[in-house]
Amino acid sequence: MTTLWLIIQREFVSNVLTSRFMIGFVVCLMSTAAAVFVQVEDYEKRLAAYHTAVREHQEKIRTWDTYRQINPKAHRQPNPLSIFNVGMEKSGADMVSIRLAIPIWEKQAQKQGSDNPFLSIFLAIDVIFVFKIVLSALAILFAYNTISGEREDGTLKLVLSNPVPRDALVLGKYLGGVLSLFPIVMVSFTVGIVIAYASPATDFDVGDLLRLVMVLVVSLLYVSICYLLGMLLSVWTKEAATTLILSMFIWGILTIVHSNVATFAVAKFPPSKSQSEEAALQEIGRIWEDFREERDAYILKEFGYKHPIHAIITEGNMSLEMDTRSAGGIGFEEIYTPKPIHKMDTSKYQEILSYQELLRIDYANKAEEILKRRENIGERNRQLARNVSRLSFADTYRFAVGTITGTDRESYNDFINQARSYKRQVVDYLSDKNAFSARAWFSSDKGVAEFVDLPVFQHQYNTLSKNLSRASADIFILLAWNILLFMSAYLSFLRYDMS
Amino acid sequence: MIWHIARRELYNNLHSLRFALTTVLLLALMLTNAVVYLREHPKRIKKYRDDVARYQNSIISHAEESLYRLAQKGPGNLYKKPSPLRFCAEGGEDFLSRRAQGGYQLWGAGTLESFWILGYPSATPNLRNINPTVTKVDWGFIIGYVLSLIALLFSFDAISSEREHGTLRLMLANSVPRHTVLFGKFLGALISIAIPLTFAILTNLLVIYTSGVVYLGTDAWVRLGIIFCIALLYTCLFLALGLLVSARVQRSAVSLVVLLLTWVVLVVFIPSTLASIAGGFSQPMTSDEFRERTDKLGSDFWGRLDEYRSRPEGTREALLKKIEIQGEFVMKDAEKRGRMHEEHLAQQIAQVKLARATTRISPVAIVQHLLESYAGTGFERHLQFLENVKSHARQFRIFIADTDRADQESLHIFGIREGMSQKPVAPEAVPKFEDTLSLSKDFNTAAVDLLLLTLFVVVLLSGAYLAFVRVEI
Repeated sequence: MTTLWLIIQREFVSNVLTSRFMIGFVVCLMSTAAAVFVQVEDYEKRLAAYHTAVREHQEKIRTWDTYRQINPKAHRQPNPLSIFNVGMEKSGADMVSIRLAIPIWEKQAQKQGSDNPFLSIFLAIDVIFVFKIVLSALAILFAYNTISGEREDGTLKLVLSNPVPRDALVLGKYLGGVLSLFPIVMVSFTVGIVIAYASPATDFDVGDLLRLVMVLVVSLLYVSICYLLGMLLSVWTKEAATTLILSMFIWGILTIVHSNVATFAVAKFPPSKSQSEEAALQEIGRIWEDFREERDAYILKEFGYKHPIHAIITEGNMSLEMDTRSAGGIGFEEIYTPKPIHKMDTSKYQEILSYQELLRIDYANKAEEILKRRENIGERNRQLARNVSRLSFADTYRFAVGTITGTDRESYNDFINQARSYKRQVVDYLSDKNAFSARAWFSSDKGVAEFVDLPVFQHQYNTLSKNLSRASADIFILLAWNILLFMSAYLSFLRYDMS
Repeated sequence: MIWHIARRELYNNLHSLRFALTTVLLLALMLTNAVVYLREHPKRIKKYRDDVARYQNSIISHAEESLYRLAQKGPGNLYKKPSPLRFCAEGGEDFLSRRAQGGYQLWGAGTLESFWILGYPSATPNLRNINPTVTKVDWGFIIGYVLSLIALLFSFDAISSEREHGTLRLMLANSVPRHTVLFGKFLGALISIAIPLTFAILTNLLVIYTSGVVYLGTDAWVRLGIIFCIALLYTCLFLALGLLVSARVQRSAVSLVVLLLTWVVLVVFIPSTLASIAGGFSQPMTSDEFRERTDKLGSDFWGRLDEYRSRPEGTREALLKKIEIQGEFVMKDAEKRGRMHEEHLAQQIAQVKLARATTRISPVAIVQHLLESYAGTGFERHLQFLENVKSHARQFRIFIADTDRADQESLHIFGIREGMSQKPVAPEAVPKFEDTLSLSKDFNTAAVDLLLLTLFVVVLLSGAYLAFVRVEI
């Protein structure tokens, strides 16, 4: 035990006193601080834009006086943890505008706030990116000469000629090396949190802090894998210089090349092909034709009118303004403004509306299914790209952190799905109020539409436990890499030929 | 003597592990690049052709209807021509729009319809790409990131390891001037890297060329040649950096740590972080503000719509007056909105330009800008496209004015159907938009970058020389 402790101590001290420790420490600290600084500023802007948008929307609701105008919005709340891991936070839509007759589709979802679309040509750097690149490089640089370097210096022979078991030596070197890396991670991360905390906009709750702790734990796992990789290569190769070159190439491939090639390849050779956008839009167009047919047939049968507007026209001699539009090719809205409305009896029209609008919502849902089908195929390809990327533990690390912080693609999809279920809530709300058959649906002359208790969209982030269970696979992979690499290094070192 | 040393370095390198790894890595990346490009490019070209055909059909149908319709709908969607050299530099093309909207529809209110303006839609790469933020494996990536790292790996131990092994002392004990040693080593490393690089690039070009998918003209080959030279110059920069550090520090390991972290900071970190920081100094109109201002213009209009619509039109003079006022209103509206779109775009561009100028501190940004310029992709190219779009818009306006003037029956009041020529226009006469790429323009934008890159190389080489001259053995 004391031998082990001695080895750990020696390794730790000899690492900490080197210039590479100092340089690595400074670079890691500076780049983390700069990254957090930039991201905090960005987060503040996004938060301000979010609050403005929500407030404006509340004001807008007050101006609606007919139910037909209902157009609630689902705003995505900026995630404070995006300061550490940007992920999907900036590339996705911030707002989903909910119209009863229009399916919810990502393309129609909007971005708002202080965004310059051209700025996305620059890469967004965050703490996790810095860790992924810098820490892995540092860990490998700490580890590459643990065995081969000592062998070259001849100290390995000296050490092993003493009664030091080889396993204690491997374990001691591993623990000492990793322990000397931990301060760099801890200090950089803490400084990052402090800078983020200093901003008035950020408000971390206990859950967020727990997540950050989890991120730290996962980062430590990652650092340990990189160290073990360096050590393993150090056992496998005879000269420190060879170890260095080999590990640097492997490092470059794992952190920079692999995920790019993987995503690139899957994107260009997608295993599941989705229908083209044009074809999907055409299919949706046919759905809306079906809608019109079904509605007209029903109205003819039940009321004897050829078209809903005849229910008003036949009542009197009046002018009518009509506006039919296919919103962006995926929805179908009709706006009729009969004039002069106050002289009209619209009871028949209201009956028709109460049937027609629910039918319209049904058909909008059908159209949504088609769009969802395309999305799901895209999602499947994305999943494959992610799985292929997972071969590199650098990317497993990135995915694990993304899931824990809730800035990954899945959490973003959750937002879109929340917007969809919010739409159902709104429909239920209108049905409960009998809004579809109310005169206030299209006219405010006899009582305006009331939206006082309209359900408000509140973006819910997943609970920590749910995120953790999602991330468990990735964390497990990281753990497995740790064990695998350690065992390989250990076994290889046991068979190490000293001659 | 230089050649002697260079040859020795070269032979040493040819046997080394790093040479083998470099060859394999570069070859694999270049092949991936070629294969993906060959799969992607025909689709891109087809899409562009389809879009252009659709654009021309819409022009024809408008022209056949009447001059007024053509003038009101505008030149339609104008598409950016894809560059055949996109495999050299993606240049963030996914985030740049493929088109400008030359018939931005604003409003229609009964008989009054808005006139066209130029709109600039933004790209939505999330829908098409699995992961748009991932770096593309283009030459820019291979050269900018991978090659620079390789250059460091070839030079980090050039001097320090000889010192560690004691061979430096032996070498300098001979009557060899120090600068000869340094440049010999430099040349040796450069040639050792140039061999796998040339090999990989030639394989890449061979695959692309023999596939017959894309035709590369003389112009393209000149550009490729320039890009190759830039790649070599960039390699020189990192070799010089490696020699500099290697001469300054005592041990190779320390040299590599310093170089690697410098590389991370210079290549990975500075371009994006500086871009974000510099972007923060310029505050372009936010889309909220933009929307607000557009809404305000809209409400101005709707507030006065009835006034325009309900003017008396009993006599011919009154009718003329009404047409004149309505036409003026429509044209003013289009002008105001058009100006606002231009202003918004100009502010956004200014922000990006500032950010891009700042990132020039990092050599990788310079190289990426250069590759983009010569490959005809990226932001500068997008600006060129927007320039083309604007000049086409001017041409289109002049054409409308001239054609209208030629029609005797027209009242020459723009903006409203009654005021303009109702006759159909010969579709051939309408100016067609054709996006062009020109090398001379590219060269102008690239000159500064090229100069900066050369300056970097010269400074670092002199630094390495000074450091090596003062080395104590």
